[in-house]
Amino acid sequence: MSERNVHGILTFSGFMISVLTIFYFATEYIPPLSPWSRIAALVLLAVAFAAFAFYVQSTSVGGPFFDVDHMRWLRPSNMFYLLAVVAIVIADGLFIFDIEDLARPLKVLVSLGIGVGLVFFAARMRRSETVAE
Amino acid sequence: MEPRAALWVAIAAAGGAIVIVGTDTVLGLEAKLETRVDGNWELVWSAPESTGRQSYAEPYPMGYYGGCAHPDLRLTVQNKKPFGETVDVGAFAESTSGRLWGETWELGAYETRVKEFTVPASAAYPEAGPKDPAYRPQAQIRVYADELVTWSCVMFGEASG
Repeated sequence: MSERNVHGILTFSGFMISVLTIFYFATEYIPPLSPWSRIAALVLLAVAFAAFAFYVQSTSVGGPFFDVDHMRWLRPSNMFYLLAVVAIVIADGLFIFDIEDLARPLKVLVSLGIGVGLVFFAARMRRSETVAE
Repeated sequence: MEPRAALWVAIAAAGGAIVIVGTDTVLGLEAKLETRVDGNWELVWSAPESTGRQSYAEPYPMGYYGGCAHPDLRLTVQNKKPFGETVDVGAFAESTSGRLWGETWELGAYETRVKEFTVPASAAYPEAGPKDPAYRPQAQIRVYADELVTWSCVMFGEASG
């Protein structure tokens, strides 16, 4: 086993333990909260995961966990981005299904607005990066 | 964005999530139980802080009231959720001989519900079985919001021996 893989296994284990702890936090502490608090906490967690992903990309732990061709995508930043996606999707699900204070058409409009807005924001980001290159 | 700035954003966002979860969990409901002594209401316990006259068991507050065989009790529950949401609350009182009362309330933001009741003398002892000389009659008051929020065990009367 190469030294690179040993580092990768250790880092991967650390991430798995952290993810397990976050799931414990989510299942033990999130359910008794009100829907608005749950949504706010999940959105903030999504922002935290995305920002951590961005930060980790530039550090020495940002590389692939394993030195194997088909597993190069498995790296800390991608895991954080995936966690951010999961958190934001769950937050949107809660907003649609759990919030009873708002009218249904308004919830549909807000949810669609956020979804389409995210797509346009990503497209603009990509375009500006391409221009910069 | 600079990587270091992203790190600070991440720390701030994670801290914000923890603060929201913490405040919503801790600052949920406030409940207090009082008993009437000489016409005046006196606090037996309050939650989340216990200010009972005596605490017998941690972490649950337990009040002691020794002057009356069937005391008047008053339970007050207030919804103090920090983000102003409605909470479904269940409040129950039980004595040794069975349930005294039980109600469920839908408490709006900062709404307060008060329940006054008397523990009847008949509730003091189990209906069947020998009487334990060391036994002290008691009433248990529980407050739920999905899960058990707090409960108190109020002892009253003299030991039956």
